[in-house]
Amino acid sequence: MSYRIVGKKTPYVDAVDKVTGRAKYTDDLRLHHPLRVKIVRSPYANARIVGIDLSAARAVEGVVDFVVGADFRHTFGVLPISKDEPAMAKERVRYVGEPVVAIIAESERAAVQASRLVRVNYEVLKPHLDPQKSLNESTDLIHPELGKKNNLHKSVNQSFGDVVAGLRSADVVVEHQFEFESVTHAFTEPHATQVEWEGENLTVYSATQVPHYLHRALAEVLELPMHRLRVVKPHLGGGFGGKSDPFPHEMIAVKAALKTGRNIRLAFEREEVFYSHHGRHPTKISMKLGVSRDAGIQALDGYMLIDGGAYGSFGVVTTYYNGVLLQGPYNVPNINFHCDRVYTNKPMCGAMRGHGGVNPRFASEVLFDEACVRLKIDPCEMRLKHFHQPNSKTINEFRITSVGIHHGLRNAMAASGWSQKYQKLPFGKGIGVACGFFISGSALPIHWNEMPQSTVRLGIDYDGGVSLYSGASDIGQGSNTMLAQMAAEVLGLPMTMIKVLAADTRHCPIDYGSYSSRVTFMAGNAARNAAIRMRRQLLEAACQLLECEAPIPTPPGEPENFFRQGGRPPDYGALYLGANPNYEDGYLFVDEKIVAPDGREVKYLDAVRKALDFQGALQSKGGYVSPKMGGSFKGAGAGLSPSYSYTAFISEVTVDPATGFVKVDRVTCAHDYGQALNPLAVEGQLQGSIHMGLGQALMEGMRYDDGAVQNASLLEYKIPSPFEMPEVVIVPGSGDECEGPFGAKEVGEGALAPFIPSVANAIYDAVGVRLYSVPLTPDKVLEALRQHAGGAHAP
Amino acid sequence: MLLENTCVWRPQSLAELRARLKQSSTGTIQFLAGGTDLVPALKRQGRVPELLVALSQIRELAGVKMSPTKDRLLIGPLTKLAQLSREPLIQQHFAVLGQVAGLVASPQIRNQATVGGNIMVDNRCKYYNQSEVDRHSHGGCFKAGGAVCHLIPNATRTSAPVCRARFVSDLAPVLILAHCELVIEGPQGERRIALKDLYHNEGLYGARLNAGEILTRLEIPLPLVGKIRYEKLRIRQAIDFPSLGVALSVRDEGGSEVLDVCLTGVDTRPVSLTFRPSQFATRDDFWQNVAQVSKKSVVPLKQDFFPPQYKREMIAVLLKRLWEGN
Repeated sequence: MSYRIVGKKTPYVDAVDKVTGRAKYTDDLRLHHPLRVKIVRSPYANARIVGIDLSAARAVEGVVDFVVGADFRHTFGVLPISKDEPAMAKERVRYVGEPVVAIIAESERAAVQASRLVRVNYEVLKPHLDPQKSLNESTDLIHPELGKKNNLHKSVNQSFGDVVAGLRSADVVVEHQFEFESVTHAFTEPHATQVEWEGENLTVYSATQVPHYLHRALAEVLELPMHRLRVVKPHLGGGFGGKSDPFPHEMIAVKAALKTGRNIRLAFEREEVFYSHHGRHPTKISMKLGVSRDAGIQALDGYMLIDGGAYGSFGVVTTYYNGVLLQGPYNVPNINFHCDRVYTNKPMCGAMRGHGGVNPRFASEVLFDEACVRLKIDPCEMRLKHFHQPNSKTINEFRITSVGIHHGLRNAMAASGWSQKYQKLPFGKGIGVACGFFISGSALPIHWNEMPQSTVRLGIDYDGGVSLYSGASDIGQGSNTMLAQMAAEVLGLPMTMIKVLAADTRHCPIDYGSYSSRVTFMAGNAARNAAIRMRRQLLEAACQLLECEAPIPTPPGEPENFFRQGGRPPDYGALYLGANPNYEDGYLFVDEKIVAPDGREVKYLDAVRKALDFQGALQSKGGYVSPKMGGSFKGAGAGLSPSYSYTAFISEVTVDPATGFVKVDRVTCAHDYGQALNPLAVEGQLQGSIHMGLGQALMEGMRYDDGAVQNASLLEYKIPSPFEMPEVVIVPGSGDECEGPFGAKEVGEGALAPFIPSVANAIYDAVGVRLYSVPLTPDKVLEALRQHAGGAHAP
Repeated sequence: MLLENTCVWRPQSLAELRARLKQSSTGTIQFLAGGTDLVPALKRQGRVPELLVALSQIRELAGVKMSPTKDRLLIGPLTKLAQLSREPLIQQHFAVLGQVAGLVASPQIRNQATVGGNIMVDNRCKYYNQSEVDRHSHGGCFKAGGAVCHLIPNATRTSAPVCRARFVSDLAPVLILAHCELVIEGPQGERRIALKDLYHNEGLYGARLNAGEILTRLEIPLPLVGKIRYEKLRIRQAIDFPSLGVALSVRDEGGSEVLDVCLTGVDTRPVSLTFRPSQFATRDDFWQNVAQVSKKSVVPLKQDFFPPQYKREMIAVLLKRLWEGN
């Protein structure tokens, strides 16, 4: 069965507004006479605040008031188990750039002028910058208030099977140490927040991926009932995980509104985005991989030390993801990992595209490649033999549903000419493969509750237009378009008849937000379920007009029951629609008409008006809740997802042996995203993952000096330019995900991680050296070549 | 980020500007051409001159012409880099200059940035081109008006301030090899200097004219002496300043090749070197000599994307590429 809207290249519903500049981002909103807020930040990585003198700053004309740490009683954190962050520093600063004083003034100029007159008296302490040393520190703690013995934030140790026996049975054991610099999201739109008074209530406009979590955190930190706060996310210019926490500046802006009774406008400078960071953790990995010729990976043993920076953020999750995401894409019968996240005096790290899974993926894929070379086995053929099988279970009890990667990697091999190129290219040219595995949304919520993970509400009024209300946050990834597609497809309407109203906590039902690649899967299913229920109402009205009996839907239950019952294998018959229950009942909703099995037609608008006659207002809702799954051991919930994506990359590179420069020439990508709801969006996400991965692979890195970020600008923080982008070839690599909306699963994050090791493996094929320190910069390549040649290299 | 309050004056002609410069000026003046480098610097430093003289309306200072005697290329300092790349006279007589202009930054910046601004570009250092927070964090360096050099920590105020901020113009090395001369107007009238004499061996001020002076013209004698080529090392093939730029001009001297080289990005000034490969028995000896001379002649420090040692090594690599790639 083919669809009219799903599966078709669909431009984003907000594309025209964005490219013409009409779209309003947070800082574009013009509130009534807002006061401006400027944050004074700590210049020290670790210091005690002895005193703050605001007298000179207060004397500046236009300065209205200040916000300081003492204005807040509560700390916060995106995870309820890790609320260690104050909205502003109180007695102590823990990283360079931490907010200390916020100036509220009539103009930006006055705020900036006053910011230079704030005198903070610091007692400077020795900063903890090295994670290993910080881990060993037992007296001088970064968070003495937490009552811990050292600066360790979170430690996870999980073991499945028998790693020692697995390593013993392997034909080859490869091991190495790996090192990764921190990378940051570098989204286009800097953080911004505006606060508007409406009677006694406050509306908070903010560039956030998670309006619901922000809503909760604001209510808690500012001690306001949630109903007095409304969080709205306007158009948003990129998140990548960097806007998925509640932030200090959001608390500061609301506090400023409360203190002054005025509207507030706050926007970051680019450098403040770097101080705020929350990017990928600097990581040290020590990994051992046992591989046998016939049975593939026998054992994986890894230790990861991740440098969390000053506060928790998503760090507990990151700590788990460093290990649990190694459970795929291959069968790993014996696995042991230990990950420590340690506090240091640096800007905090958190979630970033591919969260926690990226750096260990590099380590495991490079080692796997090395093992294949030593075993003299083609690394693609080896991978093909040991991918997960559909409808299986991993050793840590992940429920695996669809797996499309087998045919994906075969397609990539064919499209790239793998077998004609691997180990056959001239010196300096190379080809490399790597594969990956990622979640389609976390099956467990951050805040433990039984609520649906996403709920969508539909309303239809007299004009026939459909209002779709969703808490999901379109951060540029196109979730509003996806939601409109769901309703348009089910109701047989053009996209222009669906108006998505999203990410507004007053009007929209709860959705947890845009992170962990959950939105298409969860909010998409919720939207589809809401549309199925609306369809039933319209069908009843249509049947009244046709003077016939309305059909009883098969199965008659609620759409969500499909998931509650644990899902079921897909029916590949002609009427398969993905994510059952099947709403097929013989009637066709198409082109604003409802067509009966006997060919008689009712106009959509007539059905709407008939329905309104006896209902007054047409409403429906749909939800999504993950099926129950997973083991019962401690930490069994980490990495659980209703569905997993798989990726295969084959990268081709040219390495200049004289300069060490690596040019990625061509990338062939097969990503198992289930069914593409919008091939245009899928391609955009894959291109984006490759570009972002390319940055981490070859050049990006947060450069710290005494804890201060030294490259806090888009000139010095090196995002690849279009010249560095390779030719991208996307080949089909998908199965059909029976539980995803119309068969879809994630495409936003998973593809990033394996791209990086595919480049490293291609470099090995090109010049015979392995690199274990990311980014793979020219100087490191050259040094490796020199070591390899035993010092024989000369220009 | 806001620019601090400052007074901006936009003269409409060179005559108007001359008249103003003749008055004994009160307070500091800064010329603003394309502003691509200066405006961010002024915002970040939070120190602005009392008068910002915006030159954009002085049409006489823009454009490329041939001298009446047809033996000199005359380039107005306000010529935009994008325009330089498109200019037929440049393409005909000094094509490499147009190509090098096309290597600077990005299209948007080249539409705004000027030739004069590029050769007069302020020296850069990771401790100087920084935010206020970072400068507080480390303490302001000499160039930022402070009393320390973070790259050379034992340098103190008691001796002369030390600054090793690096020179980053792409155009300068190519122009120097073309024996470019500058015509400078000031209160004492017009003077001419060779472009190579504009620069000093310190990073504090980089290229700087005397008070009241203005650069009015670049002159390049034609035909060019040797064939000039340029290679730019940077991690991205757009946007970035040169981590290292190598310009090479090969000329004939009594039947042997002489390599005139000018480097950018690795020292406080453009560094001119001359190599005579014929004086060496083998090519290997010659390249060894290049490596030694490079090591002695330039002092790259850890203030850029690449480690200093790598940059130094790349001098010979790029030079070899330029020379042997004919």
